[in-house]
Amino acid sequence: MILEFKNVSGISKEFKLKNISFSIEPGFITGITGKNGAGKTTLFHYIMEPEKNYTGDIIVGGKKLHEHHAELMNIIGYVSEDNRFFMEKTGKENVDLLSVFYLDFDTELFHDVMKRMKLSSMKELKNMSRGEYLKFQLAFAMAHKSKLYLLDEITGGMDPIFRKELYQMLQEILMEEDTAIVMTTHIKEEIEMRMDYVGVMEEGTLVSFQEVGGEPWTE
Amino acid sequence: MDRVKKFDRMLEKIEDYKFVMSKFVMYLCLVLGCSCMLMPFNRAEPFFVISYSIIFTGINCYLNSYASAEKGTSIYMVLRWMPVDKKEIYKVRREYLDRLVLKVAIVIFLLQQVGALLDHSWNVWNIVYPLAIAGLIWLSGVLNIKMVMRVFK
Repeated sequence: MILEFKNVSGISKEFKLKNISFSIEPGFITGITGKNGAGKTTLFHYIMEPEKNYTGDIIVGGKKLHEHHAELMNIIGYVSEDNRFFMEKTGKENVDLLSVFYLDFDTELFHDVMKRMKLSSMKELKNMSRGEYLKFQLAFAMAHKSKLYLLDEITGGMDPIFRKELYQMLQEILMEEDTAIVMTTHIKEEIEMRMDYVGVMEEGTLVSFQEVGGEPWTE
Repeated sequence: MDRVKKFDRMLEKIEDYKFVMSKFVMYLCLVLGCSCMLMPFNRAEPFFVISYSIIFTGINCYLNSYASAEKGTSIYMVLRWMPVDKKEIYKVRREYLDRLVLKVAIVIFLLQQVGALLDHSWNVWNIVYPLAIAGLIWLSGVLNIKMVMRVFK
């Protein structure tokens, strides 16, 4: 099990999650869907924020998240528009600065992935388009050998070419041992065609979590 | 702690101009603030706040270079989702502050003794006065580090 939520309920004043339980096996892509404000992004923030108040347990790679948060950030790759990097600096400078925190950061792999995505590492992040910024984040997440990828609404508003490229990359990521992808999306077609499991959220509650009965996930 | 120091060295390299400028401002403030400490305690009442303010401003101008990147981006906002512990960063920042304040404390202590001896007015307050200023600078520095790190949740 790469990710497990066990009766997780938020106890902070902001948006609350209510009794969330599900688990994610490596080798699969899981979609989290629901209306705006249903709690999809909040679900990711409960994983990312080190001091988030909640009851229940979030377990990543067999370890309790709140006890090993910093350590587990090594294997979590978060890709989102609200992810924070040094926007005034280039992709390379961001890597030079931030790679020191990771146990196993492959700078060569980062540059290779950027090259494959036809994106210059010398471009300042503030000058990147939304799609380019998300690609940069994906390259960064791949370079630190993430085992759990959290992709927050990254395909929304993207052209079909970007989506195709993205899913090709995700397929390659899933071939790595013990890797899982969780992504939030609104796009029904994406869920039916691309996901192995889908969770539906409504007002902070996970109302269903099941295997997708569509075509197998292949490119 | 080594990782945070490596990050800081890299930041110094990438933002070299900012660090050179903040170091220049710090040394300028230290020269001015420490010079005031030549004035012996019994004549120094108005200089207490001036010395403290100038030295504190100089030290924090330099230390804050490690807290914000270009255009005021908080470094801690970026680091909070990285595999690094808040305590680890705090320890390194404290180490920088402790080292700077210790050096300043030695210099202002010596200057105060020299000033008092030349003025033939030496007494025990010439020991307490520079130490009190150094203590206050250190305390304000600790509070400043904690305040700028608040975003790191």
